[in-house]
Amino acid sequence: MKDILVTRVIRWKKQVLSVLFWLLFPLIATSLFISFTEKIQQDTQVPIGIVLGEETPLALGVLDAIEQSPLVEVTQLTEDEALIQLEKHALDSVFIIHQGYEEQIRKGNRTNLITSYRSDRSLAYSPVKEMVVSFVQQETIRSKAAYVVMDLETKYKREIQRDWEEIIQKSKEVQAEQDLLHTTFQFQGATQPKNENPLFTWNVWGIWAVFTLLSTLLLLDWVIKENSSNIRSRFTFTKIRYHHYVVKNLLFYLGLFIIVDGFTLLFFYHYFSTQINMFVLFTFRVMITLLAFIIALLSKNVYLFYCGAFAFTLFITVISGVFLPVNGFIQEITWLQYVNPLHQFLSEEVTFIWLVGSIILLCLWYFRKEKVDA
Amino acid sequence: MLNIESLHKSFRENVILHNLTFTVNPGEIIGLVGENGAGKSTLLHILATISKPSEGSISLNDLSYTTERKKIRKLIGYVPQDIAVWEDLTVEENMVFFEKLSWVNQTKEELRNLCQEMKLYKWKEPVNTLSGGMKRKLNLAISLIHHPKVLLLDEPTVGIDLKSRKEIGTYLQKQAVENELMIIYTSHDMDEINELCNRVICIGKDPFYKDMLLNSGKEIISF
Ligand SMILES: Nc1ncnc2c1ncn2[C@@H]1O[C@H](COP(=O)(O)OP(=O)(O)OP(=O)(O)O)[C@@H](O)[C@H]1O
Ligand SMILES: [Mg+2]
Repeated sequence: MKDILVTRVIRWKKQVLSVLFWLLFPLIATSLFISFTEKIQQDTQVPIGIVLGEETPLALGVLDAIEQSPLVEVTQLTEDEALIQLEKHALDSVFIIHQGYEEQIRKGNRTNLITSYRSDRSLAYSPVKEMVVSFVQQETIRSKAAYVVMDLETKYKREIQRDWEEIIQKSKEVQAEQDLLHTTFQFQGATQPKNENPLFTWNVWGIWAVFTLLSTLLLLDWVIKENSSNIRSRFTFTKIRYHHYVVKNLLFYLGLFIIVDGFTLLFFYHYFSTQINMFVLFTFRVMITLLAFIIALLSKNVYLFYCGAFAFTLFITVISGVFLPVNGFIQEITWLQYVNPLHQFLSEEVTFIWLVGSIILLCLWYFRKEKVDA
Repeated sequence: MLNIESLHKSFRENVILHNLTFTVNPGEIIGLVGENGAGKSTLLHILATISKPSEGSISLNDLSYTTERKKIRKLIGYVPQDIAVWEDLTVEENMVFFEKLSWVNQTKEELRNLCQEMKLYKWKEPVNTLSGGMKRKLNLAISLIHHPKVLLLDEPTVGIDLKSRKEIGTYLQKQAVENELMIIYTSHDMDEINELCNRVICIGKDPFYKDMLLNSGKEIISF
């Protein structure tokens, strides 16, 4: 084993850069992709100004609700300042929550609670206005409901009578639990992060899996190169038979992959706070390495193999839905899940079916060679 | 001693080798000649255990080719017709690479000496910067790492200059005498054959090569 490792190290020394590049490619590409799309999302947020005339719980509630939206970037400032910024087009629009807002709401008054300003270049004014109005309306209705509850409680002489604040609080809790109006685009296998509320949530490990498919295939191109090389004729006169040599080399690659995967695990945990079951990751890695190896064994021409690797990755990307939301159509076609080697990994399951399949194919190849060579 | 008896080889209906019987003794260099497609490489493949004969028996030092292939392989050095070395590795890396896979362990010093004996002095240079002659020498050196007793060379000197040719020839002669090596090699160069070989085997239908060698005084075996 050590001798074979020495031969592999000699070969690796000639391709340090390309081997390192493709080993780290899934990690780097995934990180860049996620950072880049998050940056774009931030850049496309609409800047709006909010002026608070009072700091009552209800007024702060509206501010908070607007700030939670991924569509806008909220600045809180005074009315004068806000209008100057608006004139300079630094703000898209300005919303002023007047003094007496909470009192008016409690009274059930729904007019003149908020004043809005916009400039001739307020592109996003209408949707933002709709959003603000809907928040205000929601709060007004909530308040009205609270009074109705209080009336009923008085009428039926309940022992503990709750006040307005308590009922409002309770209703917000119920709403949060039910989460009726929550919509974000969901990608295959993506989990919702706890504290943020972005427009898109990526499945970090899903994106990594796609890049990994590509890099694993490309890293195993040596199988084809050495298969078709004149060198192969020399293996009749070596202490190790050619298919043993190839399999041992594959194990070295698998070792490298697993080391890099461990590093990736820590990296993603640290920077994207995503976790993954180590066994899920391990089975996926073994399966994808064996699969790439089998594809390489079946290939005769390196350039066709490269083209095939890109095409295959693209196909898997589309049917996996890690870059495009596919909830609608792909999930209907169940057989696609079985032809997709990434499917179980994307669902955070242990890669079982494809792993067993790959192992069987590998054994078939291995024992056939064993027979031919004997 | 390499013993070949009633050797036949055919691919489907196509008979390539018909009833070959001869013996090679230690220290002997045998030339193998014949027109293109006569079956020279085919014969060397069979003697190298790379392919099997259709009929006939071969034995090396009383080891049978049919039952003791593994032992026989350790005694055989085969120099392929196409250069089989890593083009992107240096001479040193090539030698170390194949030494690690070989049955016999050798130090770097020993490997280097092996190259220098056939006047291959480049060591740290990548193979793709070497001349054709030097590549041929390396191709030969790699086949000798495990100290074989039989050396089979398929056109070892094709396409290289006269000086390298002579150097390889001298080296082979020395090896045959000093290490009692049995050498069989093919070539289309009759001067080379005349100079190096003790005996010549002619195969193929064309009598051209046989006629050319008639006046050389060499023992000719033809099939
Ligand atoms: N695997 C094979 N299947 C079918 N025919 C083959 C096979 N290998 C060789 N032949 C045929 O056997 C014949 C002898 O080929 P071989 O390579 O031994 O010739 P050669 O004497 O080495 O020629 P050259 O001087 O060109 O090297 C050729 O006609 C070739 O087509
Ligand atoms: Mg030939």
